[in-house]
Amino acid sequence: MISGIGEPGEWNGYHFKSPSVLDVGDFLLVAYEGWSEPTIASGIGLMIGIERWIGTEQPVVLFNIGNGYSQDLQLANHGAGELMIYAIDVSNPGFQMDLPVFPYILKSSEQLSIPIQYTRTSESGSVPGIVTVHSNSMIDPLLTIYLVAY
Amino acid sequence: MKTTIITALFSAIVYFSVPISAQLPRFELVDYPDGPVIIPGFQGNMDNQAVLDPDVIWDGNRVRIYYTAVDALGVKRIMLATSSDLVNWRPEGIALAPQPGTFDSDGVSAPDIIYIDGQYHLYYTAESMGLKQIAHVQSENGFSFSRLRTITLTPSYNEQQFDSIGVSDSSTIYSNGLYQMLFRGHDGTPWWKIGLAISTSGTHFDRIIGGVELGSNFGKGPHGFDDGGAEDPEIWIDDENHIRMLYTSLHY
Repeated sequence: MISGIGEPGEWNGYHFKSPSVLDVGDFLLVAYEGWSEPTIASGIGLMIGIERWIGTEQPVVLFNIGNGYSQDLQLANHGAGELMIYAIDVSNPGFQMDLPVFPYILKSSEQLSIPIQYTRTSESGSVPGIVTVHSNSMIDPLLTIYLVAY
Repeated sequence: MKTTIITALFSAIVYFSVPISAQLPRFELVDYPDGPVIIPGFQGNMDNQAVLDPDVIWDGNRVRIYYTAVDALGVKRIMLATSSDLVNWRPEGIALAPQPGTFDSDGVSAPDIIYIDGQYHLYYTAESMGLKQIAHVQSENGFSFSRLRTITLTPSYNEQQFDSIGVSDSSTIYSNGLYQMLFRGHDGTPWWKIGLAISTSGTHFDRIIGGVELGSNFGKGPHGFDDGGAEDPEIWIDDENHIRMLYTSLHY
């Protein structure tokens, strides 16, 4: 059952019905009617059904440059199907990652651990970086992780 | 009078050759942000009362949503909107309007569209003098449908059956030369059910007696999520060749 979409008072909070599905493989696009009250059809809305989606244990990863320890980025496939990752990049070259061979297939419920280190270059103070995970899904990029080295 | 307390969407994997089984949805459904994408009045007076029954299709360039448009006088038409990014929607006007003096003179609604071999096939609910039937019309571009309209499915007129006085709200798939249509049946009671009809021509359907009659507790036992009935079926074939269905469940 799919429920819980819409809270009382919202445009689809009384009920939602009449689904129509566009199945593009990696995800579903579902159009539906939303009703805010028993006699008020508020409009047509959309839901995205995601079969293959990825998460991280830590959306923000901190690096203490002084102790030299590396960190691991933990990526997990929370979806029901396989996920093909074809690239992972980082905005600041001071962060180095130990990447797998691409394309990498992340199976359902599987986790991928990526060691990452920071080597200070010319910046001083805290240094930000953004890791972007790219997949073959139409929902791309899938994931961004924020890095801070201090 | 039907009192709907909660309605929700239920997903089932339906295998037509074996007893129906229900499994957990394969997809995690999340509400698309920013509220409705089409609201009453989106295309002016013709849909300013309500926008209902969306049917979504990809045409190779854009997403199309065909929907029932209701005006202030209660006239039902089928209208079209398109988008290339799911955020900005373009009004495309009337796809189909009621035809005076015919079986759909009192309204056309519940668009059910499929694309086969260069033709958009639009199945819809045709209303006239209180009678609801499912009709068909086709078009090359899918923006306007002006060809001959035909009735594809009539009520059973059998008092013992769930669709004795009306049929509506179809959803159709086509595979390997066979059209399969799910539809809502009306028997004068408030407990609607979903039935199945098949066709090899696409213009005349035969109902499968006893096949896929969902509703009135298909969900689970007393106080199940669809103990009030089932309606608005949506059927499709996924990339693993499973036939899948979403429908509206009614619960008292």
